[in-house]
Amino acid sequence: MLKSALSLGYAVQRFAFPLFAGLAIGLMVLSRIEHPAVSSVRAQAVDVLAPVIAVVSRPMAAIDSGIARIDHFFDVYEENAVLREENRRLLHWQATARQLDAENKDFRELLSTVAEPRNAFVTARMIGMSSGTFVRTALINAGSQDGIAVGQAAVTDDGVMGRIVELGTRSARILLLTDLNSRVPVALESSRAPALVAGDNSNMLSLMFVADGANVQIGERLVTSGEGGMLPPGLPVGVVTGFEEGIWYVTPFVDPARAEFVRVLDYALPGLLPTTREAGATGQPW
Amino acid sequence: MDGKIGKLRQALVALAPPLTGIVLVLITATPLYIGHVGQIMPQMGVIAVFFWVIYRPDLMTYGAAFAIGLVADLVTGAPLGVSALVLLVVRRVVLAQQRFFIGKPFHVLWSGFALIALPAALLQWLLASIYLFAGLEILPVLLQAALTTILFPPVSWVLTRCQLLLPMPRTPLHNRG
Repeated sequence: MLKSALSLGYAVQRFAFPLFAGLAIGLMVLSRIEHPAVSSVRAQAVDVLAPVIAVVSRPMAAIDSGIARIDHFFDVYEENAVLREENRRLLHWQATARQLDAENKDFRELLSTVAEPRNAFVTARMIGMSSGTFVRTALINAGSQDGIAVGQAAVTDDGVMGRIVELGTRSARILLLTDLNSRVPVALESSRAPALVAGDNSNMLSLMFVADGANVQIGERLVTSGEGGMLPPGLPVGVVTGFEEGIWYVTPFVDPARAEFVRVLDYALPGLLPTTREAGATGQPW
Repeated sequence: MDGKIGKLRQALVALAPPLTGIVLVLITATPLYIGHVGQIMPQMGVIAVFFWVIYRPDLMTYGAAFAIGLVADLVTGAPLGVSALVLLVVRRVVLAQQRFFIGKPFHVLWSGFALIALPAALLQWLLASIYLFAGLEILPVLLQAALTTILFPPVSWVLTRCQLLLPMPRTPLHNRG
């Protein structure tokens, strides 16, 4: 009896490596072929882990803000000068915006324009970030119970951060603009020419499929075009900062590593997208 | 009653290594921004598996390494199974060298870790490249291995405190697996 138990233990020990390695490879294959079970298990597991991450992230967040404070302390003088200058410019823009807003309102009334649907949004805390070599995603502590759905845009004050790709009941995963699988339809701000920004797991985005004849220049700002109905039009995405080997490079406005809270926009275009999605639904590979 | 408490104690001891590994993985899943390093995440799982395989190979089993890797994949959103496979390989390689590391001064241990961390990061890079069918950049991988190596001393100090809390195994440790 004891002997057989020992030999069973020995067999398990002996075959544990091939057994678990096979299991790992099997999981990789399942997630590669986008088996629905994998994404639902993943969403549920993250749901369970989300509160734990939220707790262990607090000390890290404190360290993080401590480092930021020390950082700021050293350049407080220069920053003050920059802010004064920026404030002066913004006050000017505010006056212009007010004037345009009033003008716009008058024109809308004159033309009896149909009001655009206002965006509803949910604000959530960033609880996890994988800025690894392989994926660029972020976790937030709100999910389907808070009204979040797959495909919705995640934005900060600076602009678009990404969109929801994986959904649990109380957690969700954002695919960042910089991820290898991220493609977002944009428009050049000056000419409204359509294009696509694509991520490649680096900190920069590349501009693809620029319309023929569009005059791209360094410093050109890009906003979402609203094409495809996934993201609301007009959200700031990034600015063209380089040109190398025939490709325009774009620096995104949002630095996800610096964001503490994100807003998830519910941009519901009636009839265009299915409105109800189950928890565990996913819209992207793995 | 005593038996129950004994069993609970045993279970806690057995779960301590994988749990410390999982906590380390969860800590590094949170946003932390240190200048340009903020974009690189250290592989805490590799530290945990390396440490425990050397000091308590009986408690850091293949199953435990697999579980830590799976949690890392789940949390980071990486392809499921990639980190798990990397940690299984790390356990196997370190286990073969375990006798060498026992009783050696810390700098030997640290150098040994550096020799494991780099191939581990490269293996992960290779698996992810095959999975995504894209040539991923290699520089972040090298930085990741370097950051993990730099973090080894403080993390292993904490793990040593945990290890001292655990009762010694009844049977002497020997090479297994």
